[in-house]
This record gives sequence, structure tokens and C-alpha cells, in this order.
Amino acid sequence: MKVCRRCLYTSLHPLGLTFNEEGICSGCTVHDEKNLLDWKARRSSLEKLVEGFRNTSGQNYDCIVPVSGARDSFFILHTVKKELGLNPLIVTYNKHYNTDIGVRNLARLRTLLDCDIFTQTVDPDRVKRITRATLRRFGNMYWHCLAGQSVFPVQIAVKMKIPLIIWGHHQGLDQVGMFSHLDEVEMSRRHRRDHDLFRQEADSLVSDFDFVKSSDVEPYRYPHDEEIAAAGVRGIYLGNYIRWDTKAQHERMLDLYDYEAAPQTRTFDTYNDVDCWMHSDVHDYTKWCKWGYGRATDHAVRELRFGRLTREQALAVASHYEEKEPLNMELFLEWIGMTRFGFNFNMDQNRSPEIWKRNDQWRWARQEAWGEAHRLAAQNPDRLPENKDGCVFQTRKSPSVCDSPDRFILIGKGEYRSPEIGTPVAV
Amino acid sequence: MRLNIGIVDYGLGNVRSVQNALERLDCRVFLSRNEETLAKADALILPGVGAFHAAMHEITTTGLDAILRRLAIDQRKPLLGICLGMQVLAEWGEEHGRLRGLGFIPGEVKALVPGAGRKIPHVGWSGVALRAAGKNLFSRKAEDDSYYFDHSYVFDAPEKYRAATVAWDDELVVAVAKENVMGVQFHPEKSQNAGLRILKAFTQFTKTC
Amino acid sequence: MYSPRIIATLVIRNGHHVQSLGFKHYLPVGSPAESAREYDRWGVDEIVLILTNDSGENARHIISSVADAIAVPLTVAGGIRTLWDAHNYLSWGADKVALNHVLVEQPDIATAVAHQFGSQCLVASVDVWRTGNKLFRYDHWLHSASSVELLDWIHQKIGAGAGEILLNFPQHDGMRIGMDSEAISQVVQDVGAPVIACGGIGTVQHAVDCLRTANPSGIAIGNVLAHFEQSILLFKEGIKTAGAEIRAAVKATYNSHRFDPRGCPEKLDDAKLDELLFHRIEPELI
Repeated sequence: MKVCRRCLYTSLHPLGLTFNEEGICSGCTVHDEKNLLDWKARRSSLEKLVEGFRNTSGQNYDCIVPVSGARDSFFILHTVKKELGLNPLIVTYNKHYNTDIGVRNLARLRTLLDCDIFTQTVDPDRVKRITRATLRRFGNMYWHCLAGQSVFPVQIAVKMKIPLIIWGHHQGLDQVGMFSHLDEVEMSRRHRRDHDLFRQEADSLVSDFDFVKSSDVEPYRYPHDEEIAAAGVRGIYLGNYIRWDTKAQHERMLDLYDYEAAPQTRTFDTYNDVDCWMHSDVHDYTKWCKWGYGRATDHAVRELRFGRLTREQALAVASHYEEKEPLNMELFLEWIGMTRFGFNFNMDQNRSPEIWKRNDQWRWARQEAWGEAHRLAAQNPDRLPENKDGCVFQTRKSPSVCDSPDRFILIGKGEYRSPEIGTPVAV
Repeated sequence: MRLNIGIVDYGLGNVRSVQNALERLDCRVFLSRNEETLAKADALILPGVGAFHAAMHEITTTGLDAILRRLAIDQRKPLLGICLGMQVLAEWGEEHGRLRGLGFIPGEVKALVPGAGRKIPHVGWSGVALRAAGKNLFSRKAEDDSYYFDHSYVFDAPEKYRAATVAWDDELVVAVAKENVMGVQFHPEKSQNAGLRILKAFTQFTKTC
Repeated sequence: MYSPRIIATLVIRNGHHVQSLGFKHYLPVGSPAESAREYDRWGVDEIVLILTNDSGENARHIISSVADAIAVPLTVAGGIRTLWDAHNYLSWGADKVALNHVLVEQPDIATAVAHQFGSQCLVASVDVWRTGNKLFRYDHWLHSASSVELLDWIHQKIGAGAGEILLNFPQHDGMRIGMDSEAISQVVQDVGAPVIACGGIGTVQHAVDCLRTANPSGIAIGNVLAHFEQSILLFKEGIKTAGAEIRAAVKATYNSHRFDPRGCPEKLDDAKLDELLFHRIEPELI
């Protein structure tokens, strides 16, 4: 096992990682391109590319933009609509784990930026059965979100014959330098299956044992190659053409659009996962169980590469958050109908043996090789120049309320009170 | 109804891909050289990659020649030879001297003759011209399909047993058929969907037997 | 006659499919089997795996998982030092083995492999180095051109039993500057065995130019295949549009599209897209 001399990523990173002769990882070397490329020229490339996709008949949209109540959705849509002057159809997959902040952010997004939106909400019973299956089979409770978010825009593109989909950043490029910015990598089913979906596409989940039928996974099926080719569907990443810095981008949106941001359980980044009860909580806890590190490491590495954290600070903040108990575990367990014992059992089957072992007290502990590799890398670290901006993440709460008995409700949260149970069941 | 397909195991040939392809067609597949086991199959596949003399040596020393004669000729079990597996169906092979083949289909295996622009081995993808004897293997769709070839020898069979041909200086026989015994020079298990269609046709022929 | 093969090369390092730049720098792409599966679905004609440092059980896992994921011929290069290694690769799922440095260190191994497994299983992989007008075999261990002239070397290896020749161009690998079509043409015209060329393709136009100028039996494309959806299909469409006979492997087609310089499809006319709105497109069935 090897650790990058600059950031904290290891050779056991689930997306894969390579190292150069100086022991610097591929993620860091590709990140360096941010300071070397001519971003003005890249911006011009982007403008030229999207120009060819403008609708000329007045009867369809120029492009599709996948959004949520967080994750640079405001920045992406602002860039597409206000700066590139395109007419997008925005689409969103309902994650079910939505927070009220996420609902308000999404409401603000579609209203202030004045866009048509398609939402897909798969029925809760199906989603729960699928999630029980993915948790049992590979220790993951977020599969349906990743599958839905990545396929719904493509399904709409194919159905409505809107060939251009505009995404934000490419996770593989950003984290592990899977591609150079100059590769101008585009969306592919191959990447979705291998990395977003842990090599399990929709049909792999069909099983009598898990009570998942073929019709249950229909919403998550990728369109046929024939349909994609006929319409010429392409998905581009703004991160290949814009010097992507999610912290700076969110801070612009806080001011421009009153974007709400809030503290998270298992990371210091208050911007990216604010719409979801689970992402920086139970879901991140499962990542920690499997791979021995969490989102806080990803965020710390990201900020380190921008010079806003030193290596020591990054290690400290990642260590601080990685063992935090997920606060919303009970919420999840109640929703899915599982006990903590059952949840732990599932996670125990999925711990990576290269990273974890049972110690003398039969508790999970990381292998010695993990600590040794980190110590070795820390002995001769590669340091970047410090960025004086520092690394403070803001919080922001909006005073507005989205539901009201006296006004038009564009799309509300709604609540059903069952007379037998007597407690509200959120929808 | 799921078919049982027996792949004849004589130590030559990449059987894994053949097995994967047949399983994709929902067949039950097993590998054997034992007569009792092979007799349970609804149809047999004879794979093969390498040299004629090596294949015939294995087939004769293991007694598979007599076994296959009993199963395919006497009992008329459908048999599909692939690549070298097709070539050993011939009466004679000329590699390293003249050697007897199984003799299930008349004809002789000869070396390909290099010519202007013709590289040896014949490697790559090619479409085929369909012939009357190939009606159980090739559907009309096969006119548009290409298959993967990799060989330096060719089975020169009489006209009436030619199932498909490819243009060379004159015609190259690339598939043969005589009643329930068939052979293809190309690799259907390496020819993506086109190859699957051939294997499917073979399984459908088997169901009619 | 057969059409030129469009071949995907997958460089493998530490069990990952990687992008390779001059075989010195690598960027991780993902699982070899997932990449191979996708290229196969898109109708690739052949796959070449280049193992740069995996051996033993790791090599077995990589080769067999790739072989199980595809229904096209698989050639594996890298790490073959003995007849036993060749036997292993073939039994793990390779259809052909490509030998490179070992041909220098053990001159008899080509004959031994061809005799044991047949010439059709043996590919002689040669690294080409151009110095002005002259072409030499490149020596990987010395990081420089050897004194052996390229054509001499190739003829020796064909005489020893190689069924195909795979030409690699380290000066072009990962550079996206196009192929050395002139060198490839020289070899194709001089030798009787099929020649496949690899190294330098960045756009569809590079592939078209090489096929047109040099007419190899096949061209092998590496990094760029991972950059966009259905890349194999787009390469084939571009090559077909330029007039070459190319195997149409799958039903999916871009035959109504125009393409940008990279080879990616431009937007169809809005009228055409409107027409497609109510047109049901069926997937291919076997």
C-alpha cells in the first residue's frame, strides 16, 4: 500500500490511483493542470461546443441540466442559463432522503433561475426493497440515488430528443486524475457502471431473494445503445472547461441566490451535501466501513490541493470526522425497516480485508500497513504554496418557508398523518 | 426447454468462450471426453485451435474418434465443429504429411496459398456467401453479418457440402454441413452477436432433431 | 477479403485499466473487465491487453475476467518469459499471446510457442523507433533504439513462426499526434503476415489517415476510447464515411450524423430530432 506524498489518498482508493516517480498521485498531477491551463481558451471551447446544440425550431430545449438541492447545482445552472445563454430543461431525481434545506434550495433554484423542471420520484416501497438489496449485497444504501441521478437525465434526453446533457465536474478526474482536463472526457455508461454503481447495473439487482422484480428496476435502466446513437446524446462536464473550485463557486451562490448551507455530521464541508440526511452521515459511514476513509478525507484532499489546508491540517480534520457516529442512523433504520444489528451485519460482510481486520477485542481496526504507509508518506511530504484565503465554510439559513396555507404552492413538501399511527409520515 | 450441450474435451481449444456463449443462449453446458456423459448431451460441439496432427493424435489416442462416430454418425446427434474442430471432420489433412481425419464429411484440409494482397494466416473479420447446405446454420440475416477467422489451412469440401464460402483466389470453403454434422471455420464464440446467431441456429436445429 | 480491424488496447497496471503516456505516466481509468465489456458491446473487432507489471494470480484474474466479459478475440501482451507463461495465458482465456522483449533474450521461444500452440496464437510485438528516415527496433531496457533494422527483425520473427505483427510506436504513444503511417506502410508492403499498428491515435481522422495511407490489417486504439460514449462506433462510422469497408458489428448507428474534428457527433437538425420523437427504436435481439 502506498500513500501520496502530497495529499492523503492511498493506492487502495476505490477509483484506482497511480503514482509518478516522485510519489505524487495522479489526482494531484491532474489538479496541477488547474494552474497551468489557459482557462480563457477552454471557456471559448465550451462556448463553441454548446453553440452547435442550440435549438433552432423554438419547440425544444437547448440542453438538459441535472440538478439537486445542493452540489453546485446553482453554479451549473447559473453558468448554463445566465452566462452561456442556453435554455435548459432541468431534471432531478428524488433521493427520498431530502432535508427541508434541500427542498428550499431546489425551490429557490427553479424559481429564481426560472427553469422548467422534470422530477422523478420512484415509489417508496420499490426504493426500500432495492436499498435493502444493495445494502445486503454490497454494503451500500445510496445505490438508488446514484443510479437514478445518473440515468434519469439520459432517459429524458433520449425520450425528448435533447442530445446535450451538461454536468458539473467529473468525480474521477477530480479525485484521482482519471482523465486530464485536456481529454475533454464525456459521460459514458461504462463509467457509470464501473464507478457510480459498483459494477451493478439495474438488472443485476433482480432477485427473488431480495423481492426485487424486473419491473422494479425499470426506472434505473440505461437507454439502449441504439436510442443513444440515434439521438446522438452526449454528456459534457463543465469542469473540463472551467477552473472548478466548488468552495469558491458555492460562496458566490450564497450571495447571489441565498443558497442555504448547514453543518454536516461527518464532514466540514457545509455546502455540498446539505440537501440530504444521509450523504455525509449514514452513507459516508458505510464508505468508512468498507474503505477505511470518509468524505472528510475527500474534502480535505480537495482543499489541500488548493493550498487552503496544509497536509497536517488535512490529516487532522479528516481524522476528526472519520470516526463520528452517524446522527441520522435511526431515521434511516426506521425508514428501511432494519435493526442496527442487521445493518452492522451487512457492513461486516463488506469491509475490505486489505484495510480492515479484527483486533484482539474482536473490534474492527485498520491493518498495520495503513498506518505505516501514512507515516512513511508524512516523513517526506510534498508541500504546495499556502493559499491565504484559508478554509472556512459558512452556514446560511433562509428565513423563507416553502409551504403555506394562504398562497399558491408550486411544489410543496406535503405531509400525511395516518389516523392509526398518529404521527406524520413525510412524503 | 433447456438444451444440454456437450463440449468435447480433447485438450485443444479455448472452451471458456464457447461455454459463455452457449450459457447466454440459456443452454446447460458441460465439458467431457467420456462417452456416457457425452451421450447425455442433446448436441455436441467440437472445438479446436492449433495443428491438425496434434488434434487427430489426441482424438485417436483417447478413443474419441470411435465415440464421436457412434454418437454423431450412428445415433445422429447434432455435431458442430469450430475452426480446427471443423477441419478434423474431413477425410484427410495435409499438415506435416498426409493424415487421416474423422471422415464425417468428404474433403481434404489443405494449406492456404498466399497471393497478391492475401496475408497468411487468414486473420480478421469477413462476411460469407451463403450456400444451400448451410440452411440450418445461416439465416437470411447472416448475409449482413461478419465472423472472425484465424487459420492457415482450409477444408476443401465437395460442392454439395459447402454451407458457406469466402472469396479468395477462387472460393474458400468456410462452413460445411452434411445432415446433422456441421462445421464452421470461423469462431462463432468470438464473433459477438453474429456468432451468437450461428450458435442459436445450431441449438434450434438441435430442437428439431 | 476482410475489412481492417479496429482494435482496442487496454494498458493494465496494478490490476487497473490505465491511460498510458509513453508507457511512463499512467492515469487510472477503472476495471479492465468493465472497459473490455463496453468496447465489446460497442462492436470492437479485437482486444489487446498489455500487462505492464501484473503477474501470477493477479494476471490470471485480469485475463480471465476480461475473457469472460467479451465475445471477441483477446490478445495478451506483457510478462511472457517462458512457454509455461504462454500456456497459462492461453488457458486463462487469451486467444493469442504477444511476445516482445523475450524475443530478444530468448531467440528460440518464438519457434517453441508456434510449434506448441500454432502460429495463429503468436503475435510478435515490436517497438519501432524512427531516426530520420531509418526505422529500428526499440530496446525498452536500454531506453534507446537498438542497431537492428526493423524489417530484418520482423522477417526473422515471421520465419520463426509469428502469425501476426504488432507494431508499437513509443514516440507516439499517448501523444495524440497521429500514427507513423509511412513506417507502417513500409512494413505492410514488405511482409506477408498481417500487421497491426498501435500508438498515436487521438481523433477519428488519425485512424482514417493511417488506413488510407498504410493499409494495415488493423489499427489499435488506446486512451482515447475511454473519453466518450460509444467511441468504437464513432470511429467505425468516421472510417466508413471516409470510404473504407468496416465491419458493422452492432445495430446502433450514427449514419445520420455529422461529426466534429474529434469524431464526436454534432447535433442533428431540429427537424430530424422532431421526426425521431415518435419513432420507436428497438434494441438488437439475437
